[in-house]
Amino acid sequence: MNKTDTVTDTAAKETDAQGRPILLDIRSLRTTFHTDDGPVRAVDGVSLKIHRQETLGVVGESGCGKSITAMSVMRLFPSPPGRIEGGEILFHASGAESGPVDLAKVDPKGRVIRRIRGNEIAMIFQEPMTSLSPVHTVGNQISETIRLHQKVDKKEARERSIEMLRKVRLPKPERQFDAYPFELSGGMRQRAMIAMALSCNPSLLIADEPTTALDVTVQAEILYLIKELQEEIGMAVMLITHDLGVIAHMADTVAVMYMGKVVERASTRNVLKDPRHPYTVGLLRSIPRLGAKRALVPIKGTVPDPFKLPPGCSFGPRCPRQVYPGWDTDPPLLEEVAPGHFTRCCGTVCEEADEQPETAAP
Amino acid sequence: MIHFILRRLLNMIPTMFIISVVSFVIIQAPPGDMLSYRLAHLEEQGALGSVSAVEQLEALREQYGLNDPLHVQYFRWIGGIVLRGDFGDSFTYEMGVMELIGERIGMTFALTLATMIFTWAVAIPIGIYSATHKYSIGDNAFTLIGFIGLASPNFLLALILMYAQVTVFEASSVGGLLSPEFIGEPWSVAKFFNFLSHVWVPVVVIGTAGTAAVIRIMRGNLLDVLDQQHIQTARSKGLSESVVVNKYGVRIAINPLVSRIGLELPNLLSGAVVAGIVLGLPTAGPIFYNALISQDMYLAGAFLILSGMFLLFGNLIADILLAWLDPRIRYD
Amino acid sequence: MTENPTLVQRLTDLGRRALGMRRRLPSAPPPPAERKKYKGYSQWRLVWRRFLRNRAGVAGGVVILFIAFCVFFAEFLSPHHVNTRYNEYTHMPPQRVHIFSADGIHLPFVYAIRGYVDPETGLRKYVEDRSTRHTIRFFTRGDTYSFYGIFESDIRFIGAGQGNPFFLLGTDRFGRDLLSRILVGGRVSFTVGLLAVFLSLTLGTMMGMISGYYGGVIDNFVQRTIEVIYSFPSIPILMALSALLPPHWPGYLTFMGIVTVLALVGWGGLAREIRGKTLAIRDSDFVLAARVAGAKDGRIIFRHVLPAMSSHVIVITTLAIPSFILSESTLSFLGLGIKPPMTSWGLLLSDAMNIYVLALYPWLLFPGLCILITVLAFNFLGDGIRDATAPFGH
Repeated sequence: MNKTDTVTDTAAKETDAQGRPILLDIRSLRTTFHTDDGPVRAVDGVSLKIHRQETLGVVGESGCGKSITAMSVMRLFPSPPGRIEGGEILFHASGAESGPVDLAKVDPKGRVIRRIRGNEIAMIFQEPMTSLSPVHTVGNQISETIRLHQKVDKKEARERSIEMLRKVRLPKPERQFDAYPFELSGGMRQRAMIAMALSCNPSLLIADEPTTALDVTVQAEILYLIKELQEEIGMAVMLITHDLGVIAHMADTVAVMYMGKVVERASTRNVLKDPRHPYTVGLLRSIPRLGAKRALVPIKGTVPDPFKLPPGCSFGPRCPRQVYPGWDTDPPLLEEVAPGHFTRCCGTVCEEADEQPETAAP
Repeated sequence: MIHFILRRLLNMIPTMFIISVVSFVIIQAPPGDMLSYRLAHLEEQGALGSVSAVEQLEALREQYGLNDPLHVQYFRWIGGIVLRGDFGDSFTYEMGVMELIGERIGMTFALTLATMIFTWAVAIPIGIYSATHKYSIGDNAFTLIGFIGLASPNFLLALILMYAQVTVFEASSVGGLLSPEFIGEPWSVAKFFNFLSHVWVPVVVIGTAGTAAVIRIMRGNLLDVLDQQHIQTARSKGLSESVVVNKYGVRIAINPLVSRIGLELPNLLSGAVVAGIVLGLPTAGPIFYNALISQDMYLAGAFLILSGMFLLFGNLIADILLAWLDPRIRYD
Repeated sequence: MTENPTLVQRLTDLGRRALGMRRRLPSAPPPPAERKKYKGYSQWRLVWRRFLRNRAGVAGGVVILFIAFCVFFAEFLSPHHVNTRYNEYTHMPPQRVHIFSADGIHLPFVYAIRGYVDPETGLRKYVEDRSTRHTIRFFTRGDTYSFYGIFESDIRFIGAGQGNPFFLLGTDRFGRDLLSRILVGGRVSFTVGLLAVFLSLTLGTMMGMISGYYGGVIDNFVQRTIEVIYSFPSIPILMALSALLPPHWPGYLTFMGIVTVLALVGWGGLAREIRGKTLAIRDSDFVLAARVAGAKDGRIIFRHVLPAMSSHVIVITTLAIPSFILSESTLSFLGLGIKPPMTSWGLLLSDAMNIYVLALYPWLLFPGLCILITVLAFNFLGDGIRDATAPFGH
């Protein structure tokens, strides 16, 4: 039913516009969950690229496959029922002469991925309340990571952990080292979580909705913290969110996902100002904005049942365009509609017919 | 921590008081008192022709204070227990209750605790195995055994094991904790092995249901915990699966089990009583049973109240253990 | 056991894990078709359909229905009167059913049995008398019985002719047919379990709901009471209380006494569960809405709280029955429960308490098998209902 995308820009470009070398290259990744109600293609032919020190924002509604994509990189989704059924996840580890590692092929419990997790690629999660072990101290959980990946003794690990806690601006880091997570507030826990994730100076941080569960005031602080540490450590960030405002602040490039597929991929500026896919257009229109005179426009219809995907374009039934004669039979391919701007819409040709959305937030 | 323990100890006092009242009510409930039993006994022997016997009994009744109001009798009884450790007299054996069953009660509690430790030592690793090898042949086998274990009453297990001992192992002596030739002998290697060859029967009888329950709970808890977010965090740090399971999974899954000690102990003690009766062990079970049959109520009451205390302290220890294991409770 | 519960469990579980996954991760695929598929059915219909998919639970239910049928028609189904003593056939082992004889093939039959005393051991032995065949007949005449006092009949389901030896599970020391005694005794064991659970459920639901709904002093009092009950080991306290039942009481009073004792000791667990559930429901939005609308406590309890936990009550009831059956059997086994001439599985097993008797006449353990099967069936049924009623995935 779905052809894998031809990745048009694979061969040549190993660096981006600023000359940054490629770090993570996901090609036509397919991750399927085999449930007793049938298979669910959670990730359905996704291709993404992240360059060193770059921030890639991945946006989409709940259930679009953005978290599973991230979990696939870390090989952390439960298996069974989940399985990677195709594609490559090429990770260019720092200083690896032998070339990139294909994370799609490694043993999810094996040594290779374990050496990468926490060390090369770190991850922070949405729920700071539950993502730390409740019965171990914060310091124990951080220094454990350091001792695992760096050959240091207990004392050294403790000092580095406290240093990390200081970096994430946790007050009284020496005391918090011995605190249990339940003694910290949500924002403080997320700081501790970031300290843990960055304790080994990873080259890629995957942040899965890192601020969704936090108070609005804390959200900005955490995002700012991530950005600051990103520059200090020089890591790339894969930021998963449903909040386009966050994307506008943080991301260099954006991938918009819908039903397990990337439907639009371009620089943040292009996506926000010149969206080509009707779904992206819909997302942007459904954001409330101060001073906007026009009423919010929700995307009509609902997300289809993952067990009964519509034939052809999975956004088709909700699409305001539906102009291209074959939209309900032929799935569209990801096409480059402008330099570095890819979209997966069979109605791309008619995009002039659409009204352009208002300018996105800065 | 000390504050926590003190508070729990204070909390136990009213419960202990009610336990003692209930025990006393049970002691007093059968019609008549211990002397009327003796009277009936004498009547049977035809020794009761003379008036003096009745008068003698009446004097004894006065002497034991059996004509006093109930609350006076209660406080005399509980006072004896608290102040002197005197649980009253058994009239069938005509001696002090503690003298009679003190050692046997200690034996019962020791057997209960030993069985618990033994079964947990067996059940927790099996539970971990079952959770980490979900639906493997081993897991399925343990699940089935567990269901059967939970469904068999202690006495049935005791009967089946005795039957197996006689037919399969062709044991010369069945029941008890030692073969007759070793009873009263000083401890030796041979005696110890003889003890081992006997003691596994009560341990299995008492422990099977609890083992099944603990396996089931451990498996379920661990599966729940392994589904939690912080396990993913631990994996995302690059820890090996065994560290993830043991340090982060088992450590948390075991907490609710510790609080189950309080629930498990009464069942084990029940099992120990039944096993004692069926297997004829030198524990309090058979004596308690005989006391009930012959309505020797001070004896029965002493066992009840001591069991209550034992379980209360078991609960206390479980709580302390839990507070020590789980910082969230400790800091409450 | 022919059932393989785990295959079904495995499948549902796989699904659940995937669904759990989706629930936790907001960006995973949305909940699957299940809800849509069942749209338009009532809640109970949905529960029923989910229950039917759990084969272990269904098997448990079928076994329970079968046992209930057997014990209800116990007299009709049993080949002999429960207390008829066949003095010449004491401690007879289970009889074999044949279809072949030296003469060829027949309808199922049993041979006549000749008993003699083994001169070496002094024990009674039995041999088949191959010269006499008794054909097994259905709806045949046997001992007269009264069907719950409604009518009397001597038509029994199965027999080999009146007065002929026909002991499929052997006999006890008085030569009474064990199969007949298991059937009739089963009725006692089964109904003790049901009545005790009914009684303790009534008590437990009342106390639990009051305790959970009002909280405060009442809650404290009820919880303390339960704590005291649980401070005694269950079997010893049951033994002590049963020992207080007057020995001269007639059978039915002892029966009710045992039921009461079981319920008095057993209601605490049910009350605790109900209390927890009540607490959760009390604080839920729909109860708040009812209260805002001006509903009185009684109405809220009976119209909102009770119905909301009906499925939970069914589950804990089903899972509580086995413990009552086990307790009754232990008490009766120890001679502190049901008294002769009534009988129950536990009481039947007390014949096997002596190891020498047991070693010689192992068929006396058959009632134990019945206890085991009944308890297993209730556990499977309860687990099945729990899985079917539990909200999605948990």
